[in-house]
Amino acid sequence: MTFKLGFLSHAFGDDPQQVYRDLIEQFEVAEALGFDGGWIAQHHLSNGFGLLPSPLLLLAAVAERTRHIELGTGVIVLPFEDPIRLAEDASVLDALSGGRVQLGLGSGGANLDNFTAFDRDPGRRQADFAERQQRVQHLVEGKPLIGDLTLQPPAPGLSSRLWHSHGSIDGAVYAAEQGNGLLLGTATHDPLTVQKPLADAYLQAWSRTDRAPRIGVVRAIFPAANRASAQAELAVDIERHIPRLQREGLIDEAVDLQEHLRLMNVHHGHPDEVIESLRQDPSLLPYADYVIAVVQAESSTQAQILKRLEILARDIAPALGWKKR
Amino acid sequence: MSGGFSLGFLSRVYSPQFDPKVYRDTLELFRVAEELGFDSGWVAQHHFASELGRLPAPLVLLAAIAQRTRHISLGTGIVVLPQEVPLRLAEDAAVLDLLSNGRLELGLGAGFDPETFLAFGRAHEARHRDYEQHLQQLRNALGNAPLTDSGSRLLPRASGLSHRLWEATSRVEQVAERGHGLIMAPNPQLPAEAGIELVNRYRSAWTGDNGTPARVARVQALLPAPDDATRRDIQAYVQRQHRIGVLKDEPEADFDTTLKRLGVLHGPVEQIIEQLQQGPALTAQDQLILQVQTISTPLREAIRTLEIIREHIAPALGWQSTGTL
Repeated sequence: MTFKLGFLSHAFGDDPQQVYRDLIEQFEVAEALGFDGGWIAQHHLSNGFGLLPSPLLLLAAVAERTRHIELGTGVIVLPFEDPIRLAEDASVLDALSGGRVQLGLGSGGANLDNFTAFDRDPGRRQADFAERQQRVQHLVEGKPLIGDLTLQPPAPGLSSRLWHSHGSIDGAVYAAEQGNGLLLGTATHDPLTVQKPLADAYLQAWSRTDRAPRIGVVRAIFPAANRASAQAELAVDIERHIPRLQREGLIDEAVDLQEHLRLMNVHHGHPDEVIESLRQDPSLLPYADYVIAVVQAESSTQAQILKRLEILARDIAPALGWKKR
Repeated sequence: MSGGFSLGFLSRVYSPQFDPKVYRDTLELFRVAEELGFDSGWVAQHHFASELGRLPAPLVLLAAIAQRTRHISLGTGIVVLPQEVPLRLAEDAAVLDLLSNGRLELGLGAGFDPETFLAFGRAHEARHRDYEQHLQQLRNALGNAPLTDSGSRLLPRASGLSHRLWEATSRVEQVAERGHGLIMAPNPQLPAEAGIELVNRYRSAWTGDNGTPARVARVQALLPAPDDATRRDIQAYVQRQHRIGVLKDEPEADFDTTLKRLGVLHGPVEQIIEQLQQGPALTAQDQLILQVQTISTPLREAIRTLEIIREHIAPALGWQSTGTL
């Protein structure tokens, strides 16, 4: 089976303006390499690690610089958004980009510290998510809100390009019931014991006949000349994340870099090693309609990022069955 | 007028039916205006296509425009603040300001359309209270105040943007106290001289505490040669404003009287210049913002009007191009 190939950026860096310029360039390069899509994560306020709270604005800039590549959010923290304003922003971007938006939504599990700033209760985030996602969906489907008011501009087709990120079986089933795509791997969940059951539950719960289920799988993929150089490039950034991941219960106490990379599911090494490692990933190729690669860690340089995108599109993805557009 | 002023145009992104082309046309208008040496371009926000304004997400469109232009200031005239999540607006504004190299001029208003307030689940009669609350939160975030218990702040930081906020309201003393610019459009309820009076009150209330000079953006619609389609547009506009209670009196039957009441400048160029000279005096800190389109104005006609303004009207008022062209 084949899949779409995308990349996901967390907009890491020190200088936001430079980070935004680099991101735009990454989309231009990815489009030239044949990538089907680029996805951007949303990070709020100064306590996080990404520098971009407004992915749809950056994607509007990208839309002017590109022609084909899909413009994804992976993900927008829905409890912080007014659903009408979000639907409006997304539909304007969709009109500007010729229908290229892929709108990924999440409930903010990685943003618990920021709920008070947005006047939201983290305990209500699942309820907020469902209520707002249904409102967004209602609007993009062109259904009237009150009286005969409908979303303007209309967003034909966008309702079949909505995605949910969920970490629970209930959530995965809910995404299927809503007829939306499922994004896996946006948090560091174990591919075999957590992600695979989510994917199975999602597919089993799918009942729509007018469209197919779709699963997007996010994976950290760091190809390099060999395993040692890939690890050298990653070491600093991996160690930086250990305390947070332990705190969030996503990994157990671990011993060394090798073990960290394995637990964090970072596919790295020579392209042949990466291909083999991706083939063995239990919740990737058997499920993915969209393989979404994270190729940037905090201290990655733009040159490293562009090089990894190139290796991915040229050497790795074709070996796994990806067909360039 | 002496000492020059900034010259801008305002697009309400009107279109009888929605077509994505309306965004491309607006983009093109900005590009042409920049070439002609205009200092600023402003776009209005309309939700649910009220008044047939087609742009609910001005910052998204301006992010795209920022990629196609280099010097021209990018303004919102205006964003309906009570219907925004203030912290999300602060984030978007900060990102757009970086994407555009500090070109954002953020105009804010309380809104008036009762139907859209209903749609957003907000009380129309509470809009001024909501406006004040949201403005406070917006200023707080832009001013780099801590927003959570742990001291997180807006990211990216919005250096300088606090000094590029504008308000469209008749409560001019408050605007002056806050150190914001005043957006002043003709008020059909009041005689034409009322504008001069408002500007005088604003200037005398100005404290200069934030180290910036007072600044006025005078908005006028301008129609050198109104044709039948334009007449129909304006009559439909007036009838709608009357229906939703914004215009209190019965619309006049006579077209010239209607235009005069709306403050729409029309007729031969000499007459337009004369009418503009009668308004409040503008200084180097001020802006003259001309709206050159009604619902059915084609792009080429809007461009033609910008050219007339550039060649004949603005220079007669003392405007000098500061463009680098």
